[in-house]
Amino acid sequence: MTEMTHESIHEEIHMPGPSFWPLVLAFGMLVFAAGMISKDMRLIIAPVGAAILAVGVAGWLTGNIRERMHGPTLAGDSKLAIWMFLGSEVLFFTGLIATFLLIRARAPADVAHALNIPLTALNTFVLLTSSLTAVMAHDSAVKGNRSRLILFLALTAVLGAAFVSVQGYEYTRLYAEGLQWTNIPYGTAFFTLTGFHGTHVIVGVIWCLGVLGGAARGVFGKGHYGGVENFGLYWHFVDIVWILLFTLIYLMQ
Amino acid sequence: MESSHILATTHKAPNYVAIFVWLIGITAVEVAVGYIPHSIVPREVLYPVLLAMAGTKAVLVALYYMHLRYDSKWFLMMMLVSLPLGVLFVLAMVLGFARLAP
Repeated sequence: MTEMTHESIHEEIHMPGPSFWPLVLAFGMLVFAAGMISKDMRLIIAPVGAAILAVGVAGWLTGNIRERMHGPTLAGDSKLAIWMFLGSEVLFFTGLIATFLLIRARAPADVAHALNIPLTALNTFVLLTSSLTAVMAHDSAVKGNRSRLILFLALTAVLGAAFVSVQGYEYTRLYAEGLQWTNIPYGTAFFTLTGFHGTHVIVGVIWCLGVLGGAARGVFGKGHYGGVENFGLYWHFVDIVWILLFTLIYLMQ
Repeated sequence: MESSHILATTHKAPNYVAIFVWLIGITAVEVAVGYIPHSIVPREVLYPVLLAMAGTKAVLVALYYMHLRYDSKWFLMMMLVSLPLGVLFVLAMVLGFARLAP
């Protein structure tokens, strides 16, 4: 066991200032969802919704980062918020996983024959390794070791990008072998579930790069590592989801 | 300050590399078990074993990498509260699918 102590969080409660960006974000999600279920206007409405969504996320994050740079740290409260968010993510993935399992129960026995277990086992190793680098980044931030923090965050981003790249390669192979998003219900369930997980990884990589930028500017240090910790919590959660997906989708065919 | 007191924690850092070795080791065993033909060991035996291993890995990550073992129990509550809701959600979906059965 490494002998060291994680510092306690002893900051005042700080409520962020009022912002209209969450409303923009929510409106973007509504438009995007409406676009996705639209029959004729999907290719027009969905991208518009995605653009509004992206603007909402960017505006919210920009305001939040500016407030963090110039205002008091709110590590303890934002950590609680991250856990609440992860609690809602549990429900999100529960729904997707349950749908996948129910659809697979009705699918032909050989429907998953194209799935590449060795490749995804390798990808699982990549994501597990990225969880190690993420927690080492957190550990470095706690100790105030900036160079190690930057190194481990960079490694985490690279490993996350590698995971998504391998998943993209897997998708092209599956498409070539006939398993596609829209041709059978199993394909829809498979690509929706793994695609949403992959999207979470992409978001995590972007988040990691943002934290890496903050680390390079010296934003984090002893007692001020809430941003690194929150990113780590999200990243480990995404790792846990993949641990379950790998077993349920690939090993329990 | 109340929130800060509730969330305040002090703990020693676990051996992250040792946890990683366990995660990789369990994954290797898991993949090997996944390749066992169902004609040799029935899926009624294999699947619970696979789920137990996946669950063990998930718990290891949550306890040690997400520090749930050391952090405030409020964070654990956030996750646990969503579990019964998830069970209800899945039950509703199963019933819905059963109605659609041909």
